[in-house]
Order: sequence, then C-alpha cells, then structure tokens
Amino acid sequence: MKKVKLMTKFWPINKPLPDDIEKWLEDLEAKGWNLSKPSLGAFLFHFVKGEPRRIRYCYDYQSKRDREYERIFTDLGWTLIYYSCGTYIWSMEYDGERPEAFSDYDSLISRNKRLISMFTGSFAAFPAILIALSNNLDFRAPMSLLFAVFLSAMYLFGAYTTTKLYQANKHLELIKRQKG
Amino acid sequence: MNIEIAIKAYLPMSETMYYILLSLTEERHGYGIMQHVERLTEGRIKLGAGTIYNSLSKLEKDRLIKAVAEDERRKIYVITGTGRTVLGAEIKRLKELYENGKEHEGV
Repeated sequence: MKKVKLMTKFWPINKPLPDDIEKWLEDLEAKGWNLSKPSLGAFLFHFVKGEPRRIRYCYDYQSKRDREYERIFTDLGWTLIYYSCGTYIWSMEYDGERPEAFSDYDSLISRNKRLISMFTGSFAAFPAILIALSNNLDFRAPMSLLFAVFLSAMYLFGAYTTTKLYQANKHLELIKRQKG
Repeated sequence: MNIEIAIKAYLPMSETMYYILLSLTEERHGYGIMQHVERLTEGRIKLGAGTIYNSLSKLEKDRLIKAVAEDERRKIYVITGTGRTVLGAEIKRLKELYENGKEHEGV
C-alpha cells in the first residue's frame, strides 16, 4: 500500500497579502501538494501529496455570509473550499489563462479594505480580551505566559498585515489614477 | 443618490462599470452579465466573480440599478432612471473623446 504523505503549514507570516497566499497555495499545488483543508480560521493549511495541479485560488473576506456572493462565484466556475467567520477560500482548476476573481482595481482595493476592517476589528477586541483575562491569568504559570505571548504575537502579526494591506492599496490607487 | 452627485462620482467610468451598466439595460443576473460582456468585447474583458459582485453591490447601493426578481436564488438586476442618466452622460463623454480622436486619426 502506498503511504499517504501529509503536510501541515502555518499561514505564511512573512507574506500575508491575499495575492501572496494564493500564489503560495498555487505553487504548492504545482509541486503536487494538494490542499486538503485549511483550519483554525485559515491559519493552518493541510496538504496531501498527489498529482501536480493547475489550480487558481482566491482568498476573500466578507463581513457576513452572503448567498448572492456565493452564487455568483459558483456560477462563474469557482468551488468553495473553505468558509469560516467571513473568510472565504475559492478554487478553480484551469488549463489556459490563470483566471481572476478580481478583474479590476476597484474590486482589488475593496477586498483589501474588507481585510483591513477585519484586522482592525480584531485589534479593537484585543484590549478587552486582555482585561477579561488579566483577572484570571497568573503570569507565573507557564501556560498563562505562553498564552499571553501567543496573543501578543497575533496582535503584532495583525498590525504588520494591516500595514502591508494599506501599502498595497496605496500602490493600487496610484496605478488606477495613472491609467484613468 | 442625487443625479448630479452620481455623475460626478461615476464619470469617467471604468470599463467594468460601463459594461455592467450597458448589460443591465436588459434584465440580467451576475453570470448573464459576465457572458454578455465577454460577447460584446469578443473575449477581451472577462469580468471576475468578485468584481461583478462588488460592482453590483455598489451600483445597487447608489440606486443606479435595482434587483427586480430572483431566478433559482440568483438576483436579477436592471438599470434605473438614475442609472440611465449616468450611463447617458458617460456615452456623451465617450462620443466627445471619439470625435476628437477621429480628427487626428493617421497623425
């Protein structure tokens, strides 16, 4: 019996923009690492070793689950492979030209804006979480300390990603203006 | 949205917005719009799913289009009076561009 090779990777922290994540997943697919399932709010990605595939991934965020949005994507040939708390990951197998879910600057800019508001929303919740926890946390206990470190790391990661998203949008706005 | 404000906000129009509004002079759903635009432009413009959804939401919010029916849980849209006025203003602008360009053809 052939042994099934599995791999789990954490979200690529150094390249956190949606385009980066899509490209990262597509490159792994091209090497035969087929995405089986993201988990933990799409922070962990699980892969199974198989055949190389040409797959286009699309990473998106919507503030609420929206049937009309999903209908348009499935009508245009996309398969929903993951949904959790607003995060959508779509995939499409293709032969010729790499398909795009966002074919103009405006929709790319608004996707980044949705992600920015998602991250800043989480920031707003962060102090509240800390205050709520501070009553229960005993910082001499190793697990509590580990948890505090983990939360702070997530906070920093969120801040870094938000900055990157702002920069990406500034760049997109500039190209849009030059073309208009 | 007030017509003057809408014209100011939408003109000059992106190709995406222009072709979506043009498609909605007849009742269509998202997928129908994509097919129609691909036909009109002979395959040059392939509207992405996210772009169509994004544009329809914006146009509906600004009342340039409205949802008129649902077919197998697909929303069907059509252009409104405001939408026609804004589209008309853009066509006028494009005509001016075209006429002026024509004079300089071959230069």
